[in-house]
Amino acid sequence: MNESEILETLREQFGVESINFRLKVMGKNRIYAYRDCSLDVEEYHSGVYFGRIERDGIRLSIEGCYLLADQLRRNVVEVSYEEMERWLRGEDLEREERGYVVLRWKNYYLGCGKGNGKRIRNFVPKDRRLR
Amino acid sequence: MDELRDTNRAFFDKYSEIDDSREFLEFMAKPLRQSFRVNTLKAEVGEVVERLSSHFELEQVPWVEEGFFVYGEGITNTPEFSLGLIFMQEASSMIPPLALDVEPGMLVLDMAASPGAKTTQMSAYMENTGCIIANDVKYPRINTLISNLQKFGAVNVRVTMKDGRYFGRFREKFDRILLDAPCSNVGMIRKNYKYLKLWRQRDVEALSRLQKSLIMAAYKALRPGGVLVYSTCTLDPEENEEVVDYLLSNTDARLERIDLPVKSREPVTEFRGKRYDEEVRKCLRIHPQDNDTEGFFVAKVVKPDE
Repeated sequence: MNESEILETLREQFGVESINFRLKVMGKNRIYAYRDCSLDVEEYHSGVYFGRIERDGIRLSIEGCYLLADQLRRNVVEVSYEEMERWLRGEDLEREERGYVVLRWKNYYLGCGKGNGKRIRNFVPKDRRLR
Repeated sequence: MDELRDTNRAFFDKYSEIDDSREFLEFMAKPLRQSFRVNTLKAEVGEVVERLSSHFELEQVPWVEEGFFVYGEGITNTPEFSLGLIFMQEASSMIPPLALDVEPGMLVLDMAASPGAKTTQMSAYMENTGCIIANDVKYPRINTLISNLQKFGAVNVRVTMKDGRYFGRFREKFDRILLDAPCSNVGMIRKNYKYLKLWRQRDVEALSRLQKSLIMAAYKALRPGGVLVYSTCTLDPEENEEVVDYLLSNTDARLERIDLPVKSREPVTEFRGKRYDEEVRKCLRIHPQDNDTEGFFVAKVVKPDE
């Protein structure tokens, strides 16, 4: 997937119209967000892990959700404070949505989950979970 | 106090020449207050503070709008911490990025960036635009830096792994440079007594030589009209005023006062037979008892416009 294909997928999934940063794919399927730099220097790393290309769409990271916060038009699921706590502990949530959705409590974006019509599967990384 | 003396006698003897007050030793022995900065790339300060205030006692850091001291246990087990809406950072270490006056779109060098607290602070002030070169020389520290940049969502940062002196070759390139120099970490004794055990005068002298070569490289890489902030979390004059004095003696650099609501004390202008340029009085020398923070030193250097 190249940058414009990723953007097209984001448009279909979340209604994203445009982005003001660049995207690159590293490894097989990991997408990173970055900005161009005017200095030519040998870098060790650049970019923020934005999401993952799956067979059936793009699964956004928590940071990917924040970078798109102003652009998310659909497939955003509002949750209660209690649900946010459960989600951040790594639990799935009982919901009827299908496919990839972004979870949100007020203006807090909680990352992406995948709904199967009964529950939303949790992808919060272990090192980001509440204890 | 006896514990300080018994742990490292050489340190105790030297520091009696720098600050012989009872308060200094009392605060050196007292644990640090926890503090955090709200990540303004992700959230509004008011919203985060309102939510956290229902669980914690917060107190504004006087010199940083988005900085707060926090009292009570468990701040790192909150949604705000998990989502990267707050970043734990010692309050005095929030000063250098403020002094640097970064603006959106600038090209900035953070010469010794790990673990990235100041890098992320600058990224927020630059509204995630422009470009920050975040450099560190050590591999394990680079990974911590990358992890913090990730959680902050800073897309305007490039990480390099070089000896900081490498950047001297980028003549007059950077709008702003932060040199938060490797130092003897005396300010961090309040965080961990291991820094007291590790302190050696011989290391201070070696670090001073390294800091002088780093600040010269940084100054070369700074564009005319640009700003360089030099900071350390130590209080040894050889690593602070002496390094700034060295830069002033060997270049056309000028110092500017740092105008922030932070209590500080008169910088050292003479130490163990060495006299420093009177200009060093413009630097911020912060002892732990001044604001109940780590000890810190900050100098704001300006390169004259041609």
